[in-house]
Amino acid sequence: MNRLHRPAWPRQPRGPDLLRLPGLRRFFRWRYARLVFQLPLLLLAVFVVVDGLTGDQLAPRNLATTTLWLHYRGLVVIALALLGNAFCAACPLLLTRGLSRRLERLLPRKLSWPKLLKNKYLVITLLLLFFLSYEVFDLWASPWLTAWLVIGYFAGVLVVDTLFPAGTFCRYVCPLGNFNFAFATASPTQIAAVDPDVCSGCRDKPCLHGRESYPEPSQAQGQAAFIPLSSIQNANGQGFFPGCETDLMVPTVVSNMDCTLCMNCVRACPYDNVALTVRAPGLEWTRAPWAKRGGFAAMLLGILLTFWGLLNAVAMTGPYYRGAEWLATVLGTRNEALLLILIFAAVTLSGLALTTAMSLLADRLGGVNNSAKSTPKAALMRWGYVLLPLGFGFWAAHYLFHFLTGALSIVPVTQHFFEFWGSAVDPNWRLSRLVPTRWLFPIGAGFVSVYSLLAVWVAFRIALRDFGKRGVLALWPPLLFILAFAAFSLLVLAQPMEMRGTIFGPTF
Amino acid sequence: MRFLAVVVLFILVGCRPLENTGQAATGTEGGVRVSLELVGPPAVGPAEVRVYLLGGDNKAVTDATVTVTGTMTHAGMEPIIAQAVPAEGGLYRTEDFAFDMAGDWLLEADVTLPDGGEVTDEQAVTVPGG
Ligand code: SF4
Ligand code: SF4
Repeated sequence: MNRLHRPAWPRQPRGPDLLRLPGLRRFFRWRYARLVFQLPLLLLAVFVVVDGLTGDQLAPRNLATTTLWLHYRGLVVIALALLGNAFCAACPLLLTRGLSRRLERLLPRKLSWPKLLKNKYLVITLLLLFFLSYEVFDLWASPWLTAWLVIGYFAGVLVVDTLFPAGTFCRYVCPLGNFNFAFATASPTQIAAVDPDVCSGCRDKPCLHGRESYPEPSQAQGQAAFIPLSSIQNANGQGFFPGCETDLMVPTVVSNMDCTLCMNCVRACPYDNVALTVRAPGLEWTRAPWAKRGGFAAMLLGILLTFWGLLNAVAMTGPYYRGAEWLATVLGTRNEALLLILIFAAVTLSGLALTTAMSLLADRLGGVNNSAKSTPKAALMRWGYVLLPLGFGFWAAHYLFHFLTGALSIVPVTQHFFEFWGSAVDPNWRLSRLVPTRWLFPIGAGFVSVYSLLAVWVAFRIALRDFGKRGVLALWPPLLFILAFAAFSLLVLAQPMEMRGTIFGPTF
Repeated sequence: MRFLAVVVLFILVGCRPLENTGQAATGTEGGVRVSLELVGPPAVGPAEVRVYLLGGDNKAVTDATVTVTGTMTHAGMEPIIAQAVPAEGGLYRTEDFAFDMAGDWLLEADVTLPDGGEVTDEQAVTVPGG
């Protein structure tokens, strides 16, 4: 290997490499490894669309609403907490690639994604629209709309993937993927280089740019750097091996933001030098990973997701409905969309204001008096990471509540699907709960507590890192914020749930 | 392939959401009319649901099997299923039905008539929180 230069790679976690588990590295180096996870989800998507469009339109009896709003969301947070961004890894939407490759032949050339949109602001906007639509149109109660959402998603990927370079949709457009990216920062694993020194001597960086490998150079198609098969360590077949579609180079990965766990890098690395490293959950929050990549937009995404998570759950409790009724009376309107826009705006702005105030105060107490350094943006870029464990803990508690309440309902709902299409099955509707109801609050409260403690640890590390001894003072605003957020979260979880379709009346 | 495309197009274009009828009209089958009624204002806790069955000849239907099901609008919620027992003159009432959560419910009465025929009725109910 030709050692060209020795860049100073950022510090990466050095925990055990999960790919060392027997058979795993070999499996993930296999060209079709991802397909093994994508195909079952594609099949599920077909069932979702068919049942959503043609089946029983009562949400608890339809595969579309049950699998998407219950199982998908519950399993996403479980996977994020225990492993990583498993659902992006298995995303069936990317199976439209074959079709988009054919379509792109009709174009003179691929377009480049506008520079203005090379950030997370479009994602934030789409997420806001998604959460608003979720409440306005009661997506969770409508199999039909849920199916159309899935179809729209496939169409969106197809269009963006055809017109723009691969990976554009995942990184700059996909609301679900970016929810996963933001909270995969809580995950206990991360892609890292096995030996950074090997990366220093790696000329073509195939983990990022891809590679072509054949026995003879004459066989190369010119899609990426040619590396002869004889130079590949643990060769995994010949042909083109794409690199990272979201532009991550393995030795520089310091955050799970933008990593779909597609394992392209594992397959493309000619030196078999990529690890799926175990790390302390949320370790990256203490290392300001978005300062270099992602920037303020990524931080804003994390902060807003935290407050929208609270609203998403509060919107299923009695006090919310009473508050909405009060607002409707004060404003003299029964226009639900308008009221929801106002509620979202209030929560978004007050959440941002509170976080900014907390961050600025912490900076001041830490000794940042220079007004050039003490800007709201700089303060948020320092302290905003504290909100990510809080946000993830609460989303996880909320989604797990639903998942544990109804996970087993997948059995009767599937039975009902076949019954609907004429099979002689009698669905057992009594199957629903995974755990007794009395366990739900302790489990949710447990999640909130654990991730609140993690937030305290993050705040502590940031305070010490940036302010030394004065960190003891700087720590107070974040600690009070965490305490208030945790208390409010527990209060919300303790409310009896009220599953209304709309603010003013039933969904039916 | 083309056939598949036509089928997909048919599903996408032809389908409309099947409306749940809400305050449904009384169901009928072979002249038998069924109507479902929630006794008292909806509230979390025990509730009595009444189902009335009237034959085509306006005579009460007395020996039918009546099941009342309460289903919420959110996926994964276990439905409440109760048998309604016959009272006087074509009236059937639940004895162990209870709303276990506030929110939107669909109440359904599934009736199996003595001759094996089936009739149903349904009604949307919003159970307010405390
Ligand atoms: S991970 Fe592999 S491909 Fe990427 S820079 Fe390191 S050695 Fe090269
Ligand atoms: S190729 Fe990129 S997105 Fe895929 S696992 Fe590697 S770093 Fe993550």
